[in-house]
Amino acid sequence: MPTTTQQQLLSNEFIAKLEQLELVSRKVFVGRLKGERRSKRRGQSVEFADYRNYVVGDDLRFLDWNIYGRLDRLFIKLFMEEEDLHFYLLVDSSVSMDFGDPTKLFYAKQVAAALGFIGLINHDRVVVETFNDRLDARIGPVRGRTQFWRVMDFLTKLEPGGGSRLAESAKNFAIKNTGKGIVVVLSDFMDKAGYEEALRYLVARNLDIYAIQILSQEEVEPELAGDLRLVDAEDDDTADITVSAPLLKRYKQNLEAFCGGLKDWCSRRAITYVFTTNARPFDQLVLTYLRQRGLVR
Amino acid sequence: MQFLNSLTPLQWAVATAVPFAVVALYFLKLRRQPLTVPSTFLWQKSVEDLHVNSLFQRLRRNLLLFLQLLIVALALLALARPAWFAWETGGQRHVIVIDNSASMAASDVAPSRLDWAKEQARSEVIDKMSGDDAAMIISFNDSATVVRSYTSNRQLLRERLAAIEPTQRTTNLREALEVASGLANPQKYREGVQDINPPLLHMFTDGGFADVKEFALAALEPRFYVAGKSDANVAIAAMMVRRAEERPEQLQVFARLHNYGAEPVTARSELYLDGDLKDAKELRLAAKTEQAVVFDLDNLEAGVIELRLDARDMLPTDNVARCVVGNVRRAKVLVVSRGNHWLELALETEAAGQIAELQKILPDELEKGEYQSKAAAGQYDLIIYDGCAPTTMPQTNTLFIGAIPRLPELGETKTLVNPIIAEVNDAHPLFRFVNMDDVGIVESLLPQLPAGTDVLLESEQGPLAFLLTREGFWDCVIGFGFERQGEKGREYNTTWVRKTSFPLFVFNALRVLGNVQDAITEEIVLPGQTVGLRSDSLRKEMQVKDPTGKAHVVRRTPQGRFLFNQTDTLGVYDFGDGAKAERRFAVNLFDPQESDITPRRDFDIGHTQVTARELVNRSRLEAWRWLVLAALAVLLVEWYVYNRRVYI
Repeated sequence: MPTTTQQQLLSNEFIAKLEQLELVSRKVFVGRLKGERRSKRRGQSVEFADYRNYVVGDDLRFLDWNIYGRLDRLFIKLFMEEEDLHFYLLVDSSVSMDFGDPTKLFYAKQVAAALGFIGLINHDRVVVETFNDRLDARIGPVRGRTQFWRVMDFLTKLEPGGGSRLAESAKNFAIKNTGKGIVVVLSDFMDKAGYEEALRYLVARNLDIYAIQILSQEEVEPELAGDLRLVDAEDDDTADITVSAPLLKRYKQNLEAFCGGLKDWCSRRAITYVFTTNARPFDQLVLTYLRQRGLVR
Repeated sequence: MQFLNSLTPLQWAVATAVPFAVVALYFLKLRRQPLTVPSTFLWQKSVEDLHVNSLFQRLRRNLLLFLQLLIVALALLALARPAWFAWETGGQRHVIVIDNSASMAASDVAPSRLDWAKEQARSEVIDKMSGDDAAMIISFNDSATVVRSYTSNRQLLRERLAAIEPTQRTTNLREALEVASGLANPQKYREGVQDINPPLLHMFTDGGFADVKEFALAALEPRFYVAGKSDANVAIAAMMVRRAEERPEQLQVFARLHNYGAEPVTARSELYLDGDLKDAKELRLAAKTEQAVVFDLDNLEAGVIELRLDARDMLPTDNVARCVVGNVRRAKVLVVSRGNHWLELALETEAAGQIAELQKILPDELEKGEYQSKAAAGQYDLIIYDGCAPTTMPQTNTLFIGAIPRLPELGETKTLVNPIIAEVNDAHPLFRFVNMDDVGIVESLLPQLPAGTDVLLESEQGPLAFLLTREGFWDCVIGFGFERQGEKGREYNTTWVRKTSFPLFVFNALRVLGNVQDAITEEIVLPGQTVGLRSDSLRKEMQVKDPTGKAHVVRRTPQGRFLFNQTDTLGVYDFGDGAKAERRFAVNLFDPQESDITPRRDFDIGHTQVTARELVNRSRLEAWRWLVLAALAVLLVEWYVYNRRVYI
């Protein structure tokens, strides 16, 4: 049941809407436990899938005796295997996410909570990991609606801290998590070292990757004026600027180029890229955009 | 090294403000407000992009390029020949000649031609002078004054130029040219040696003077700026007061009015006596014509007659003329004679009595102290020696009758017998209207005369009467006496004494040699002219009060006269001992050249024709000051740009 703190992330009305949704993977993966998801693997379910010739060693329980009676040949009945899904949520908790109103981190937490809820109610194996300059805290894998409060609790208590080292975090994630499934990266991707290496680690794992880039409205439309010394929240790097129309124009061009570059890079590697700002209502993001992009249905 | 003041106070202020501004900007150097942002990643990239894309940012980092540009700029500046400490290498020399004669008071170019000339001299010459140029200023009317000798200090030149005052004098360019060529070209122009920079002679005048003949400008390069544009002027060209022939108590005032303008003018002439309006006449003067006007005045003993012309023209100075009447000064005449009936008769006529005061002594008294002291002190205006001559010549004019003065320049005396009068010098005032026809002479004395003696009466044998000059005095000698000692006693030596021409000659002699002054005999005094005055008192110093009320002290000359030359102002002057005016005289501008204010666009100096310059022909303007100021401004902008990071 959602608590007061949980309500800050997700409202009851919104949770009700999420009930209707489930996660979609464009890839069908092998799960360890039987879930509510049809597996590529033929397995033991009630849903018939196909026949195949009997070979020695097959379980005799699955022989179709009716066909043997009519045709005098041995066939094995194959059933659809229903299995669970690994659903990874990678939330960037670096200091750079602690900006905007609501903060980018809060926004990311809301999205993570919503998607986690969808995963849980569909009996997917949900893992929430946070990262900054390293892979930080983690919860899961958890399954089932009953675990939702744990996820909420984890997300609510999540505080920003540390710098951004996407590549290092992604590498550790790839080593640690062997399961196939969906990974949703929630980050601003503002890493001076670049995002390419990080995403490559994930691509190499053959995961179904969703990159959701969250920026604050202040980053998209900076309302700055005068002579400023900009201090990087993560590494205290400074940049002296005098705000002028040409500079703002150039900044926007650079931002556009950065986001466009990320989008291109993702498209070429079958990574679904979603751009959002904290100004866009997150429920709209989940119910409309992610549905359009095929992450949920 | 010498520093020249080449900037105006305003420019100095701007220039000295620059370092302060730089320091101020230094203190105002940016204090950037720190602001924490999620990432400076994109900002740094943007700033760098702008730096890379901005032309000035590219240049800013390239110090070498700037140094090269600086060198090129310095080289270009050097090509422009800025020479600021180069006295000796010779800058341009200017001689500014400003006309401040009466006609320059014309107001056809507001506020007056003189002010226009001063303004043009300032803007056309002084303001355009570069650092090592030097200029001198000469003002001229009928004489020239060096207002400021050569200097490069333009501020000083401007001040001295502004101090030039208008005068009411006539114009004579020659003296100004002589002063200019004498001072402008100290090393003088030498044949075959061309001065690198011949001095420029800038003449600011309306051309109201005669051409200057026989004058060589030599190395001076004349430039003429014509002042004035209108010729609208009506003037009193002349005024005279005469007693009416038939009614001596009545005075007639004659005046000649001249319209110099190209338009007909209606003018009212008003006659004032001691400030009271007595008569007025309205006249219509056609263009470029003159007209006479006559006024009659009754029973006038003494006073100042003033004729005013009520006409709207450009030069009001010549619309007033004054004349002092009733100003008779009787001659003090001493007659040294043993008794000469004919002479006494001629001296006692009514006309002679009005102008002369007679005193008689015998020739024996010539040796006495009283005569000698009075003669030496110049107490008399005229001494008539009849048949005798003094040992020492008196300090006065003399008339010798039948005697020869003892002068060293005169040679041996001979006697002419029965000379026949061949020629009378009736051009001389002494023999004016004197008819010597049928005058017989028995004997006449004739000394050896020095060359150039004025001969008054010429006979076939030699001069009978002549005029000698001595230290500013005249000695008139009539070689024949009126009587001679004949065989039968006294007998006539000449028939002249029986003719009417004899008293006329005596009257002329009293008037001319006796310094008689009357309105009738008054000569015209022009502004700037020297006036010789005589006093009845024995004072060594007298006073002349000019029309402005200022008193000038004049000293007696050895000739017993007082010479006054500060007649600059038009009007009536009082001559006296300070308490009482003994004599009054008027100074009038009766000068057609001054009254004809038509600007002349060209005139001749020697064989050089000088033509007025069109002021649209702008001459070279030195721009280096502005370049320096611009450089300072660029420095400021650069500093601003550097600190404010303004990008294009």
